Amino acid sequence: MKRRKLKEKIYDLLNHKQNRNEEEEVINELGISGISKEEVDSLHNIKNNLDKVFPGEPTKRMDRRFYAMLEDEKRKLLLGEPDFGTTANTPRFTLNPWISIAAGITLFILGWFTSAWFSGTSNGDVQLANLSGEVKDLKETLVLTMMKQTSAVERIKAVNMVSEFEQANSRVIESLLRILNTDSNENVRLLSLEALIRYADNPEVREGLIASILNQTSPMIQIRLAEVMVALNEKRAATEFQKILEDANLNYSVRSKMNSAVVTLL
Amino acid sequence: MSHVIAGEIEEMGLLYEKYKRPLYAYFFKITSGDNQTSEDLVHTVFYRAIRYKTSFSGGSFANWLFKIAHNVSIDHKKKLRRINNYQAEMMQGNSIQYDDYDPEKKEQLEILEFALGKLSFDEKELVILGKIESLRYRDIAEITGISEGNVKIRMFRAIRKLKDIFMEIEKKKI
Amino acid sequence: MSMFKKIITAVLLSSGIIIQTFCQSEQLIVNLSDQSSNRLLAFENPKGSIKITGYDGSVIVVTASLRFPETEKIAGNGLRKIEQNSLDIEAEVNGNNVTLTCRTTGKTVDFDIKIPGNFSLKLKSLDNGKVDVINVSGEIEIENGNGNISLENVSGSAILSSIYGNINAVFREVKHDSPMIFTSFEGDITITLPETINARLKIKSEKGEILTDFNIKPIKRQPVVTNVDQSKVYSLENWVVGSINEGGPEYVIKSYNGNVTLKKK
Repeated sequence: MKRRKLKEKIYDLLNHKQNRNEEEEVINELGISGISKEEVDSLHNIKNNLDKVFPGEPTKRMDRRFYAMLEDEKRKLLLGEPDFGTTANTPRFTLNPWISIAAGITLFILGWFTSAWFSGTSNGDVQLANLSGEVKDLKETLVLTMMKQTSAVERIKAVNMVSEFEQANSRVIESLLRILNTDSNENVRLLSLEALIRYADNPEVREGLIASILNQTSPMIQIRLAEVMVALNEKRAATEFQKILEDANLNYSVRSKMNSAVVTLL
Repeated sequence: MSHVIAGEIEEMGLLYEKYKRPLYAYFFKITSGDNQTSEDLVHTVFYRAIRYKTSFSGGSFANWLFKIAHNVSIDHKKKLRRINNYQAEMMQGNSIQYDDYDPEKKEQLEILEFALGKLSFDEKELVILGKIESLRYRDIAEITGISEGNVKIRMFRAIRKLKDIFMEIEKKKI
Repeated sequence: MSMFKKIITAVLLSSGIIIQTFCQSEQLIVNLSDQSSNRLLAFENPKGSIKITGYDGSVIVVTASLRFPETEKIAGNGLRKIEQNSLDIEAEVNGNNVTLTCRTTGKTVDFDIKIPGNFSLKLKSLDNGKVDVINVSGEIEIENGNGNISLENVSGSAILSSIYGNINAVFREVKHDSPMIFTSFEGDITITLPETINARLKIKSEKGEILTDFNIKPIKRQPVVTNVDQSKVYSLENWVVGSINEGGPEYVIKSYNGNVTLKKK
């Protein structure tokens, strides 16, 4: 019993969890039970030096990585993205400042509205309604900003996010059509076509799609447009397709698809 | 409502500022002075902290973060099976950081570095955690999943082992 | 080695433009001011192939060669004609971005480029060549009209499209929140991914087959509703939509006439 208690005191001694007097007491007791003061001193010495071993300072890079990750999380939160699992420690690309600003503004607004809400003002409900409108606008601004990024991955993310909007207003449709007609990456153009098809009941979208037919050179996109126009029974597209069919170099699969589209529509 | 979670994310920033140094120091000693890996591992801790913030059920933030760090260390150790050989190589070239001390002290610290590398992972971790001011025995018990009594015993034995190794090398030098 | 002398004019301008004019084959070394992450190499080869190999260095080494070397021309009076300015290559370094341009008209030039491993790529080959990328980590964007695209031991994300070529991509790792798109009109697409990835897949092959050894959990497809005059048209786009492991960013893989194969690493 006493032995165990003594051992405990040794441990505590080593960890400075006692005051000066207790220390003296323990050292005396140790002398009696056969553990020399020298040994205790040398143990102390080791423990003290452990502070100095492997000194090191993190670099600013560690801070940058962390804050980039934090911004990412804020952005995901803002856009209601579900948490996806992680695969590996691949390098993260820093967020465009515009995206950080948009996310920051939203969080600021969220904070402002909710503090008023908590303070019990009577028009709390009105403020909440305004809040969701503000958030929608900011989501839209964020998406439009992302559509202008040089990274194709960002543009793809933006187009994918649009698919989650229940309705697309003029600004968004205009941007999608612009991407369909002018984006440097064929895959991004294809993706925006798929996104636009969802809003095909919108006359603005239909006009835009028909107008883009002559701009497209990718067989994948050409065929998809042919399919869509047939599904929509858009006779106006037939003339555009006929112009394309005049090109002798047209891919054979596209040719056969477009021929049958023209026949069906007229 | 999303503002609650938004608040938690901001809070994570504060936690980062408060605990980034102790966590870095922990990893730096565990990895025997590897800056790059230590930064990576600190990042991993906060990445998991954000991902699994629901795992925090009250109590001390320090314990929660160090528990994650403990798990991250173990995962890291599993990845690098040959770490002991690597460490031995690392030992040789690390004296630059002790240039501010007098030659005798410098040598002592280098020997201690070497001795630390000779401990098992579990022993080393207990010694390192023991040096963190704010952690009591019961905190270390929570972090490592060992009983408080065992923490005390094993920590004492680890330090004594360090001392023995240290003495042995000192003797050889004379 | 050709008997023609190489005419090299190296002009280093303050904005970092390096111009070299030369004949059959030439090497251009591009120094990078910025060693940070987030670097991008953009290159469009009007005619010829592109091969990019990642290595553990700090400069970009560009080796360009004429695929069909010029034969010596005899002028007649005992003199040989020296071909001037047959290859015209320029590299512009602008902070994080490097843009390589080849202005050689009409001739097929093949490029073999060694680049530091952490680099994003934006590559296009317009005619007559394949695009190969090995050991690179970053965002990889490639468009190849006529030729094949091949990625080997890459990590990050890829957006690849080819019209007549096959696509073959082997990933060591993927960036965890990045979408990817692989499309080929005529060619086969074969993608190899690490077994443990989390992703959502959208795969379609109009005339070919889809093969995989992954366990893909199907996701219920939502019909696309379009209003046609007074009636609604419900169409189920015939994509295979499913998730691997916990689901995640969307990978779109589409071929018109070719097969799609998805393999575990």
